[in-house]
Amino acid sequence: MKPMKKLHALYILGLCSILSVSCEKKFLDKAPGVDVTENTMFSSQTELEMYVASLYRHGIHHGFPTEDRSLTNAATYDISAGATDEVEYAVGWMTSQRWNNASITASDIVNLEDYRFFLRWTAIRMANIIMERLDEVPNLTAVYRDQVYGEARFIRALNYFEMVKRYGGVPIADKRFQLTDDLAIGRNTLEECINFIVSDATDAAAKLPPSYPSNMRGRATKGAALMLKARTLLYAASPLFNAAQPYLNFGDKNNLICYGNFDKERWKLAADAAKAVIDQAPSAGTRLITDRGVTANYKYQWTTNDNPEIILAAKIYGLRNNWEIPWATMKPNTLTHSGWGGAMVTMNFIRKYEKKDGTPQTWPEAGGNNLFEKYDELDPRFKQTVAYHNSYWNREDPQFNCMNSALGHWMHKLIPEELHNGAAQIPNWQIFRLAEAYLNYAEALNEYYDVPPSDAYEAVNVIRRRSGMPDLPDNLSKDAFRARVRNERAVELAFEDHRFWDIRRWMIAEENGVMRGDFWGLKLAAIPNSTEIRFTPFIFEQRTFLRKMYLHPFILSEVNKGHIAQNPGW
Amino acid sequence: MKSNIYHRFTGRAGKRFIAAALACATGWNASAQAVRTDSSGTTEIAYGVQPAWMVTGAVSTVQGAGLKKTFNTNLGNTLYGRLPGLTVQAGSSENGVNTPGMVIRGVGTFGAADTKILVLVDGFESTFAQLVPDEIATITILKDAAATALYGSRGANGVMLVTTKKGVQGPLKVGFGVQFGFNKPVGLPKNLRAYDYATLYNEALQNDGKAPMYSNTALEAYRSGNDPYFHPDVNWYDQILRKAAPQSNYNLTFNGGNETVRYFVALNALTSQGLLIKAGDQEEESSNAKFQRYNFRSNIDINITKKLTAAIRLGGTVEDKANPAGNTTASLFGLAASIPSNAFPVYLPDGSFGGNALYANPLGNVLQTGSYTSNGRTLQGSLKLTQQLDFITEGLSISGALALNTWFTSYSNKTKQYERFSISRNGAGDTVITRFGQKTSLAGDESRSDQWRNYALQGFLNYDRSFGVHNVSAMLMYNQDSYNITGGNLPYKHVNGGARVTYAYDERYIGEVNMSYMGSENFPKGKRFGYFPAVSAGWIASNENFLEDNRVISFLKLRASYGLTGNDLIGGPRFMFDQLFPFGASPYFGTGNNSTGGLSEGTPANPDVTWEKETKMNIGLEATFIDRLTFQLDVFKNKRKHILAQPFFTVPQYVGVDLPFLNVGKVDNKGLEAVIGYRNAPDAGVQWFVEGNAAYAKNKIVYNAEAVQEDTYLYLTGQPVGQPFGLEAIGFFRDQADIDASPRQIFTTVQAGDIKYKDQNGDNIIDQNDAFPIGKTYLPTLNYGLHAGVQYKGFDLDVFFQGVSGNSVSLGNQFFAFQNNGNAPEMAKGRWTQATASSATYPRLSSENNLNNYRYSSFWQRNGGYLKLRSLELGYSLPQRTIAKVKLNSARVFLNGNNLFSIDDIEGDLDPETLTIGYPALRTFSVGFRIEL
Repeated sequence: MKPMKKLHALYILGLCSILSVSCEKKFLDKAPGVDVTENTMFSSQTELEMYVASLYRHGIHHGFPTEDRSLTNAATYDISAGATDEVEYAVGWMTSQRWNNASITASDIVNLEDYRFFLRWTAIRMANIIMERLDEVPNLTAVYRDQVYGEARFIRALNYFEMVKRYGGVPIADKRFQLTDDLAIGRNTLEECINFIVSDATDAAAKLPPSYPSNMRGRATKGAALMLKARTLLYAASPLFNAAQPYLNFGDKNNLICYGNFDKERWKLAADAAKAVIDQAPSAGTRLITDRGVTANYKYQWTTNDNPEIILAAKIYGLRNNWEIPWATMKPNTLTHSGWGGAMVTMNFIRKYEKKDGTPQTWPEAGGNNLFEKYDELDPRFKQTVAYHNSYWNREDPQFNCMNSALGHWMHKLIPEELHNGAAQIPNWQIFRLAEAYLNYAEALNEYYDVPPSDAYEAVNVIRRRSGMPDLPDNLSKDAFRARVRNERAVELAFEDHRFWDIRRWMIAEENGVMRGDFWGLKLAAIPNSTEIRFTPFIFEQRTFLRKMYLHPFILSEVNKGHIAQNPGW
Repeated sequence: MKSNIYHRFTGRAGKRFIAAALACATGWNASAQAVRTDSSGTTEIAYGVQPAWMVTGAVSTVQGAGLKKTFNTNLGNTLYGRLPGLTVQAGSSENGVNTPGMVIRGVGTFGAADTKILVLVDGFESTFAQLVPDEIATITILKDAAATALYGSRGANGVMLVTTKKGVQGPLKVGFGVQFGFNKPVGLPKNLRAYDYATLYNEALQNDGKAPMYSNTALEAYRSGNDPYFHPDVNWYDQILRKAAPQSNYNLTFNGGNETVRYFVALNALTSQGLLIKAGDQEEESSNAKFQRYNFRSNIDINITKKLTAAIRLGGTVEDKANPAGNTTASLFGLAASIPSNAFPVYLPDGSFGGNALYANPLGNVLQTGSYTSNGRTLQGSLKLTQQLDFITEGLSISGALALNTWFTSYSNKTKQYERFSISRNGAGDTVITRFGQKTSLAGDESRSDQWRNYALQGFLNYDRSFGVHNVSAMLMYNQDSYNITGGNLPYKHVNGGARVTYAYDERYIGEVNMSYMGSENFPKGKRFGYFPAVSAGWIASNENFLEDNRVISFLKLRASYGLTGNDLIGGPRFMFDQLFPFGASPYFGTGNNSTGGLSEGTPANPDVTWEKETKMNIGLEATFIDRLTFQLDVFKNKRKHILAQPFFTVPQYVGVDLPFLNVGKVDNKGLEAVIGYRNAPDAGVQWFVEGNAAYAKNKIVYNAEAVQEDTYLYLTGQPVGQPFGLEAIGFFRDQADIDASPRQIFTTVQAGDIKYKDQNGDNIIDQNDAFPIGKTYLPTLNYGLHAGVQYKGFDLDVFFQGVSGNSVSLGNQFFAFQNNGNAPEMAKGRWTQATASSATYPRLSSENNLNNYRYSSFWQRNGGYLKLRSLELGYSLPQRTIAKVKLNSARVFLNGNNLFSIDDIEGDLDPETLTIGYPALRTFSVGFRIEL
C-alpha cells in the first residue's frame, strides 16, 4: 500500500507542477513584436522621416481623378473642370454632372467633390503631433528641425485653406485632440481661419528652405509657403468672403462664411503676398518657362515634371499606365486605347481663346466652313491645351478624329503625349506654379487701385508674351482690366482646378453661360472635296447653379453629430 | 463510473425513461436527432459526459451513422438539418474548399466580430471537416448558457463537440464498406445562345442610339449554325464539364478489446474527381481535377492499473488536390459564364484555340495553363490520464490531458500561357486571324503554404457519488491553449479555469452550476479575465408519484437555464489596448518612381477593450407520450452586449483619427427549436419512424452607435444583423414623360424601360439615401428538417428533407445582360421594349454598362427559401442465415442519392444556395455495401 500511495502522490505532484508551470503569469502577455508605437516614431530621424512621408501622403492634395483605397474609400473619377464651363464629361455617371444639374446633396458631398474631407483632419492631426513632439527626437540638426517644423505647419495651413475655400469657417484644431477632450468646439469664424492660415504660412515660410536636392522634390519650400499665403489672401479679398453680407443670409452666423465687412486693404495684402512670391522666386531657381519657343513654352510647362516653373507638385502617384487612374478616366473614349469617358471641352470655354492679335475670335451661331482656319487664328495655347480634329494625341493616335465626338473637342492638357500603351507616366499634379503668382498679383492690384497700375499690366503681359500673345491694350478701365485678367486666368490655368473656385470667389457662377443656362458644343462635318471641316455650334445642355452652391455643404453625417453648423441653404 | 450511474438509473423510473430515450434514438442504422442521447444513455457536455436525464442545458446530438447518408468529401456538408439550432450554409461545392458556414441559433453580433462557433474534436479545438462519418461517434452542439459557460469567453456563439468512436470491450469486429457514385452539376447558369445573343445585342445597341452590329446575314448564320468558325455558338459549360464526376470511398474499421486495452482503428480512402473534363494525369500542361484523402484513426483506451486509465486519440489525414489552371476553379467558371456564346469558336479550323482580346478560351485554360496542386495533412493527437482517488474519498478522480492538433498545406503552382486566335473576315472577304496570348514554358511556384497548429493542456478534478437518493457530481477544471496560424505573428492563447457542480435528488430534481474564469491574450493586462457563471435546473415530472403510473405521459422533463457567456472574437485590430502606428502609404519624393514607406496613426487604442458578453436564457421541455411520440421544445432569449462599434453617433471626424472601437454594441436574439418524432411499436412487422425538427432564430440590433440618419428607415438599429438595404424597384419607366415627371435618378441618364425606383424620402432625388431595408437577411430565420424511415424484412428506406425560410438572395453579375462586354442570361428575353412594356420582366437592354438598372435593388432580390431532398437511401440487409454461412455478422447493400431536388422561388433550375458564379452545386448518386465480421 505504501508504494501505491507514493505513486498517487507523484501523480498529483506531477499534475500540479504542470499546472503551475502553465499558470505562469506571462503566458497571456503580449510577446515582443514589430509593432511601432508613437514613442518609437519619435526616437530617431529615420522613423520621423517615415511619419513626415505619411504626413505628405495624407496632407498633399491633387486635382487628378482619384481612387486611393489605401487612404480612403471615397473616390472621384472626374476633375473639377467637369463641374465648370471648361469641360463636360462624356459619360453620365461622373459626379460632375450632378454639379451641372445642381443635384448636390450634403449626404454624399465626400464622393461628389471633397473626397479628402476626412483625410484633411488626419493630416492636421499628424502635423499637430509632429509640432508637439518634434523636440523629443534626439540628434536633429537645427536646420532639419526647422524644416520639419515648417513642413508640418505648411501642411496644416494648406489643409485649412483647402477647407476654407470649400466651407468657409471650420473648427480650428491647433493641437492634437484627445478623445476625452470636449470636442464640441464648433466652427471658427472665417476671419479667424484666414488669420490662422496666414500665420501658419508666414511662420512656415520663415523656417522652410528655398529648395531641396532633387531627391526631395515634392517637399514644401519657402516659395510654397509664400504662394499658399498669396492664394489665401487673394481668396480672402475676393467678393465671396470680403463682403458685409454673405451670399445667403446666415443670421447670427454670417461671420462663419464671410468677413462681415468689405475692406479694400485686403486686396493690398493679397497683392503684396503675390509680389513676395515673384520676388523670392529667383533665389529658389524658380522661373517661368520661356525658353522653348512661344508655341511650346506652355505645353512644356504642363507636360514636364519637375520643371523650374513648378513651386509645389503633389508626388502622390508613381508610374501609372494608360489604363490606370488618373489617366484612364480623363482619356477620351474614342482613342485607340480608349479611356472611361473623357472630358470634352465646351464651346463656352473655347470662346475664351483670343485671336493671336489679342481680339476675340468669332464663332458664328450659324456655323462655318473654315474650322481649321479658325483654329489657326487662335492663341497658341489653344493647340497646347485642347485636342481638336486631326490634332496629334500620341503616337497611337497621331491624327485624332474628333468628328464623331459629341462636343467636337477633348481636353488634352494634363495627359502627356508620351503616355501610350506600355509607356507609363508619373502624374504630378502642380499645386502651385509661378504663373499663378503673376495673375494673382495683377488681379489684386487692379482691385486695390481705381485704375489698373502698370505693374498689373506687366504681370499679365509677362504671361501672355511667353506664349506669343500681344500685350493688353493700354488704358483699360478697372472693369475692362478685370474682364481681361479673368479671361487670362481661365486660359492660362485651364483645367488646373482653379476655375471651379474662381467662379465661386468672384461670385460669377450664377451668371448665364458660366454655370447657368445654355452650354455649347461644336458639331463637325466633312466638306466634300475639301480639307476643311464644317462646324456648327449647338446647345448640348442647360446647366443650373443655385446660390447655396457658393460654399459646399458639410457632410451630413458630421452635421448630425451636432458640432458643426451646416452652411445656409443645405 | 458511467455504468454505475446507468445501472442505478435502470432502477425505479429507469425502464420507462430508457424506453423513451431510445424510442427514436437508435432506430435501425438510422440516426434521429430528436433525442439527445447516444445509445448508452449519456450525453456529451462541456468537458465531460452526463447521463441524459441529468442534463439541464440545451444540447442536440447527431450520431455518426446519420451523417453517412450524405456522400460528400466534407463532413460539414453532412450536417444540414441534422442538428436543430445549427444553420449550415453552403460554401463552394468544390472538393477541398467546400466547408460550409455554420452558426448556432443564428447570430448575436455584428460588424467585424466573428460569429464562428467553437469546434472541439475529442475535447480540443480542431478542424473537423476532414473527418469521415465512419469515425464519428456523435456530434453535439451546445446552445445555452448552462451548456457553454465552461467555455467562458469562447462560448457565446455556441460550441460543437465532435466525438470520435472508441473501442468497445469484446471480440474483434471488422467492418468494411465501399461506396461508389458520381456527382453531377446542378443549377448552371443558362445564357443566351448565339442567335438570341446577337439579336438582343442589336436591340441593345439601338437602345443606346448606335448602329446594329450584326447584319441579317450574320443573324441568319447564327440561326442556322452552318458557319461555325465565323458565326460560332458555343456553350462553354459543355466544353469544360463532364456529365458526371466519379467519387468513391473505401472504409475499414477494427473495434474490440479486453479489460485492459480497447481500440478503435479506422482506415479510409476517399477520392472524388472534379467536374472539369479530364485533362490527363501525365500532362505537363495541365492536370485532371481530383481530390484524394486518406484518413486514419487509432483510438485506444488502456487501463494501466486498476485505478489509472489512459485515453489515446490519434487521427490524421493526408489530402491531395489538383486542379488545372488554379487552386480553385472559381475564375474558370466565371470565365465560362461571361463569354458571349458567339464570341469565338472553341477551335479554329487548324485546331488552334479560339479567343479574343477580352476573353481567353476556357477550354484552353483547362488544357494549357498548368496545374495547381495542394498537399495537406492534419494530425490530431491527445492523451488523457485519469487516476481514481478513492483512497482520498470515494468518487474522486484526477485527470490530466495534453493535445496537439495541426494542419499544414503546401501548394505547388505550375503556370504557363498559350496562344489563341480570333478569326474574322475583313471587308474584302479575306480571313483575318489575330493572335492573342503568348506561348510560354511552364513556370513553377512552390512558395505558398498554410498552417494552423494548436497545443492544449487540461487538468480535471472530478467527483461523482450517490448517497441514497442524492447524487452529487462536481468538476474542477483547468485549460490552456495556444495556437499559431500562417500570417499571425503572435500565437493566440487562452487560459481557463472552471467548475461544475450538479446535484440531483431522487432523479426528479436537478440543480447545476457551471462557471469559468477565462482570459485571452488579446485583452489588456489586469482586464484579461472574465467570470462566466450559469445556473440551471431540471424537473423530471414523470418520475413524480402522480405521474408514475400515467399511461399517456411516459416521460416529461422541464428544464431552465440562465447564465453569462462571452465571445472574444471581437474583430477590430488585434491588441487594441496598444496605440500603434502601422506602416502605410507614402509619397514618391524626388523625380523617380520610388516611394519610401510611411507610418501613420492606427485606430485609437481602447485600453479597456473587452470581450462580448451574452446572457442566455433557455427553457426546455422534453416529453414522450405512450412510449412512441417524442416531443422536445427549447425556447431561448439571448442578449449580447459589449459588441465593438465605432461611435459614429457622437465623435466628430475633426479629431483627425479613425474612430475608436468601443464595446458599446448590443444585439438581442431569440427563438426556439422544436422536435417531434413518432415511431411505431418495436414489435411491428413494418418498422417506421417519422420526425420533424424546426429551429427559428431572429435577432435585432439594439445599439450600434451609428451615425444620426436623415431618414429613420436608414437606421441599422432595430434591424436584424445583415439586413440588406437597397433601392425599391417600382417598375419600368414608360416613356420620357414618365421620366420627366419622376424624381431624378442620379446614377446615370435614364430612358424608357429602365428600372424606376421609389423615392423613399420624398426629396425628388433617387440616391443612396433611398436605400430601404428590402427583403430579408442572407441568414435564414427558419431551418427545418423532415426525416422518415421504413424497415421491412431487411429492406430499409430513409428519406431526409431539409429546408430554410426567411432569407433573401440576390441575382448577381451573371444575370446582367451585356455588362462588361459579357454574356446575357436567358431571362433577358423578357426585356422591356415598347411593344412588351406591360409584360416585361427585365429592364430594357443596354450595350453599355448601365449603372441604373444593374445596381442592388429589390428588382434582383429573390426569396432564398428552399426545401431540398438532401438524402434518400434504400438499403437491403442480407438475412442472418445467409451471411452466417460466410461468417459475417452483417451485410448491407444500399443505393443513395443526395440533393435530389429543390423546391424554391428562383427562376430556372438555379440553386438558391449557389447563385454566384463559381463551382456549381452538386447532385450525388451512389451505391455501396458494408459488411461486418
